[in-house]
Amino acid sequence: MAVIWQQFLSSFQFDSYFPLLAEVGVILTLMTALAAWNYIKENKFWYYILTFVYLLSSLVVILTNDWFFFLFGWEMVTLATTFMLAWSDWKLVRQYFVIQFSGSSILLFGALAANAFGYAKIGAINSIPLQFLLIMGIGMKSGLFLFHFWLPPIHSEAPAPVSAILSGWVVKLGYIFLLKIIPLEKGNTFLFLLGLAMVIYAGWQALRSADLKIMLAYSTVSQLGFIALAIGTGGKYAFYGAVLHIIAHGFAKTTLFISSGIWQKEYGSRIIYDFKDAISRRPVTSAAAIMSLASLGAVVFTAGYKSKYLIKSAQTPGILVTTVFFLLGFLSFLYAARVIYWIFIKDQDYSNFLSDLKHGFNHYQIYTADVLALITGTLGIIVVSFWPEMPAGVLASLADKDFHLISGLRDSLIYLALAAYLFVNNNGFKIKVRDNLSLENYLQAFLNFVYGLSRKSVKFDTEKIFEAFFYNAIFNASKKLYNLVYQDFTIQLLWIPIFMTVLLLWQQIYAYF
Amino acid sequence: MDIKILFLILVPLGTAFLIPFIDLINAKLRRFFVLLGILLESYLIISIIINNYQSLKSGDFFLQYYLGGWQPPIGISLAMDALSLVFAVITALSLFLIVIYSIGYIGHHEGKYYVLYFLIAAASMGAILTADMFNIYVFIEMLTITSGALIGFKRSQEASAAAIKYLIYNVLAGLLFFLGVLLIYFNLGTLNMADISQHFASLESGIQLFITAIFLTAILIKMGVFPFLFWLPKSYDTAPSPVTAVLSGVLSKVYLYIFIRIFWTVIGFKTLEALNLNILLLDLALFSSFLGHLFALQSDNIKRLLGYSSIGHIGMITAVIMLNTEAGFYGGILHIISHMFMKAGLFVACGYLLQYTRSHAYRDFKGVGIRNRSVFVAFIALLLSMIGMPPLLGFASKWYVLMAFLEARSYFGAFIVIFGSLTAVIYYLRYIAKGFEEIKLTEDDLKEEIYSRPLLSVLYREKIVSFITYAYTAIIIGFGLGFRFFDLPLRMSIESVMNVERYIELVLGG
Repeated sequence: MAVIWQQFLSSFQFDSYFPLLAEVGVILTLMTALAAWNYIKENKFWYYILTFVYLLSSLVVILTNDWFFFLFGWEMVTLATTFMLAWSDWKLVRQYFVIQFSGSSILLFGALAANAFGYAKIGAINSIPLQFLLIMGIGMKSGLFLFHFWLPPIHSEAPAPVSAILSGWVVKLGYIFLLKIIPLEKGNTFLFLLGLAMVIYAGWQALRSADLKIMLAYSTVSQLGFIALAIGTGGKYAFYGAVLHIIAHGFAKTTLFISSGIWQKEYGSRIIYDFKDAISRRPVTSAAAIMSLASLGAVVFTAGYKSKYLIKSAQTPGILVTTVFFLLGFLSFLYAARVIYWIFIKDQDYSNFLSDLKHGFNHYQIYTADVLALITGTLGIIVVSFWPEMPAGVLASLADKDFHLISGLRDSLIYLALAAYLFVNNNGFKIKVRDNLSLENYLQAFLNFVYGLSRKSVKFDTEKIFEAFFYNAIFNASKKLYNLVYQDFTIQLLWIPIFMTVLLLWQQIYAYF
Repeated sequence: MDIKILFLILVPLGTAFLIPFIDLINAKLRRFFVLLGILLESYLIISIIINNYQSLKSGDFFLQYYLGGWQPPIGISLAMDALSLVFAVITALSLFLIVIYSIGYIGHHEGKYYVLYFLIAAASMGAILTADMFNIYVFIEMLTITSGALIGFKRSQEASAAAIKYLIYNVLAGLLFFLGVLLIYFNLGTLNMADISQHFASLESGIQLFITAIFLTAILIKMGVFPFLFWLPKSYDTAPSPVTAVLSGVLSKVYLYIFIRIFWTVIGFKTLEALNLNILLLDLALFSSFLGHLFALQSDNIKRLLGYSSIGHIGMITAVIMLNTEAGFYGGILHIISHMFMKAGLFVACGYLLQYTRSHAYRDFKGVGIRNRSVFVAFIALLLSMIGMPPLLGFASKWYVLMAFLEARSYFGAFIVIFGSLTAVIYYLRYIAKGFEEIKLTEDDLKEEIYSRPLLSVLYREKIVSFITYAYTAIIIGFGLGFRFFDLPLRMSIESVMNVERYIELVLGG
């Protein structure tokens, strides 16, 4: 016991930017704990126990360099966050657990393979197949492209503080791990391409969604794409950009999910168009949200601008890179600005006295804890945006870095003009609200597609499909095998002489091969 | 000469023979007597560990007892090295917990039950401690017959059918084993394991092959590896829960011990390698594990499902041991320990959860979790350990098993480990979800439930039963955090498995 404790303590490494990331993780968890104080009503005690377990194990994941404790910590994170989803729905718990467990199985395989190939500690891994294996393992847990399918449904259905934890920090753990294993000089092209695909696809999906939480979940995938892209690029400034983006996006997304919870309670809806006049009804929340959205959209002087500028500057300079990054930035700016556009609108009819009075009262009494959480998030964004070198001085060389604020200002103004033009002419991209996302609906869409190849579309009961089709397919297949192997009792006994004959003739059979 | 290891066998044997006489005096006294027997057994184990703590630490632990004072090549001797000590300790601990559970669970024919139970205890201790081939055969037959009787303990049609099937398979295996022992005796003229081991290489290769094949078939039947897995789920299903816990927690592990003892100490792994059988066995065990997990998917009966999953895990353990590396043994024995506690705990929990249901079927599992919430939570914790989630013991053992496979570059094995835990998620989650489903009882259901429930099976000491479930969960969590506690015993037992010459020298020369 003493030995493992010593080993555990000595496996912590306090160098490079990982302590900084750990501190940010603690702050973000405290923010969500503050926000949950009034949001979570039942079994509050267990919620905070789970938060505590999550906090400790996420610290282990970030700081340790031992494979065993790393996976141990990560599985604990999985377990804690899985049970946090129970405050919303047990179905989510099941789905999330299956997905996370299959991801961690691949990761376990990858980690032990790395261990067997001589990488005794977590550190830069030079072998490309091993990198690929570990990226696949991370992919399921942290929502890399094509494996992100579970992320929007689950992050949008979770309770607001849990969404904040999941989207703000849990998915980042994978990228923090990638920061450790991808060699700084080379990067990884595969990861770069995945990141690019994520930014474009998820950005487009975020623009297409009318539900605030789904939009936030897609924007998480999109911003994670920037991190993946940065790590895939390789190089000092790209990694600094990734670290900065992890921190900036962590603060922004946590704040946004907390404020989405408050808006949801205020308006009783999650649709963006319903948040009319939020700026005067929920001033603090809206101010924090605007700050975070500006950071997401990489407006100049915000945290998001600094990190995205670093990522951009690490690429090979050229007209193509400039254009592509300009467009990618515009995509983020559009979906962030759309929310701001709708919260400023005040087109309700308050002419009669009663509705005026109704309007005067808020439906949700904001609590001090909520305000504190929001203020912490906003402060975090401000700190990152004005002192990117950070208090601890690990990113010290960023203090002298020229961020080309003038060109950033120019870009932001162009974005603003374009966005204003598009919004005014297209009625703020008001689109039809889609159905709630869920993994069952995905399954249904897939099945409809398959059936539609042969006939017209059929309406399925997805609940039943999940139980009847998915499980029954597996069970019937294994039942067939079972019936094949399980024959009559005499035939079962016949195995004994057969087996003995095989053993006795094994020399000859072996020689034959 | 240490008489304590003889008493390890004699105490349960004596308890078994005295129980009928105690019954004559007072039936209530029986329970205390049973407890006394198992406590005495635990005391013996603990005193052996404490008295020999220094030699355990320095790594030269060895105890021996000559029956009747006859020296090894001629007489029967009992020997205890580090491997047998580890197995004896965990077997005794498991037997201890299950006896207490049985006091709460078994409500009828208690006298017969405890006699059979203590015979199992004596036989498993004997099989672990003996250093004589014929003696091991005697204990194996004792295990077979007593456990066969316990499987048919419910006396229903199903139970009898399962017991007969079990007996046919296991008596056949016993016969084969006996044939092997005879062949050895006629060819080498000795029955002492160390003596056989010394001279086995001098035999003709044809006879070597024949003896190896016979022992292999016999022991694989007993363990339930692929071509012989048919008896296992059926008997696990119909036996009462504590018996199932013994079958899967103790018996299969004792057979694994005998497997290691015979194929490493007596016959020698080199013989297997020379006959190229190690590759066949490795792949066969992995295939068996694969089949076990697949069959578990289609099972509509929770106890059968656990039986199939046992097949999966035993196959995996056999495979990882067949790698014949230190890492393989480390992972294998750790997984033996963890699987012993997890599976016994699961069956114990099942016994509690299924007490009010009509059958063990999936549809009757509905609402079980709502009725007995805290036991169900313990059940879920044990299931999480089965699939290998930290901070439970299953994670540590899965880690070492997987590492052993990857170090030996056996990717099929690594795949089976991952595949096993992934399929386990699917088939366990189904039952967990069913357990939390609301029950809507119709009139007919109610009637059927009332009339079909065998009144005898209602637990009358519920607290004890649930307490043992929690105890297993606590063991799993505690050792999951402190699995390094097993580091010293595991290293000792690996040392004694790998170092056959030392064993021979100690048995014959000591």
